[in-house]
Amino acid sequence: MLFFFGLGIGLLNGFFGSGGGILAVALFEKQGLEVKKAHATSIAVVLPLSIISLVIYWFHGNLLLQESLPFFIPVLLGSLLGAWGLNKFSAPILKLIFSILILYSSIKILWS
Amino acid sequence: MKGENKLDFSLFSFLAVLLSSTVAAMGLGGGTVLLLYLSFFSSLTQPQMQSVNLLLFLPAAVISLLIHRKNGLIDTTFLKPCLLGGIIGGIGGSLLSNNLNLDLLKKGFGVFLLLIGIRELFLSLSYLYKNFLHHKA
Repeated sequence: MLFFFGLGIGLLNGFFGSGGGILAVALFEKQGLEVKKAHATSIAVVLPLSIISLVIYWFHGNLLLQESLPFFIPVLLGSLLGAWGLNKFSAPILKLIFSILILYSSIKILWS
Repeated sequence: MKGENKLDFSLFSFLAVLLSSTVAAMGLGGGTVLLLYLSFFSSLTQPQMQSVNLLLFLPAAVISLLIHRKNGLIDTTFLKPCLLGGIIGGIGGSLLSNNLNLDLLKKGFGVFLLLIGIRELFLSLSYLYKNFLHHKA
């Protein structure tokens, strides 16, 4: 069963370059893993899969390594900020705002 | 058009990546936010954007994994069988994505976003509603 979960997570992560984590957390929680463990384990699954996917993107000439490297700085700063802000902002309201942003964007992409 | 497929490092793009990483670290789907930014403010093709998203996920993931491992939060009984399937799925998904027609992949991405948006909207609304009832009682 877990093998097929992995298959789905890998497919999503490789195909869209995101979303593997969302699926992993949802599946792990359904299997009875507590929320924090589900999040941590999902990163442990998605990290090696992302590296494998990146190798394939690189083989196809779609990896912008040099141009992306400077962005490691804001990524690290943002991760620290997020960890700090986790208990300071209302996550459900932020989630609501993002869901509306995502829905609006998806309609824009599908209509273009 | 090929010369335009670039990712410029500017104050605006710096702030966009900072915001999406902050959101990602809060578990709110930062990967999606970064992909949206790239979709509307860069001329990258869909697979190029996806590779940027995958690449920028790595440093944040390594750091959080080190912390999670120290706190004993990684469940290895789940991890191993999942990785086995994941590797096969990851290779298949990436190969498909890199060989698909660009417009088709973009539309597929639109549908993917639509599904995530509906799910997130439902989850956040039901949480806020439950909290509202709880406060009333």
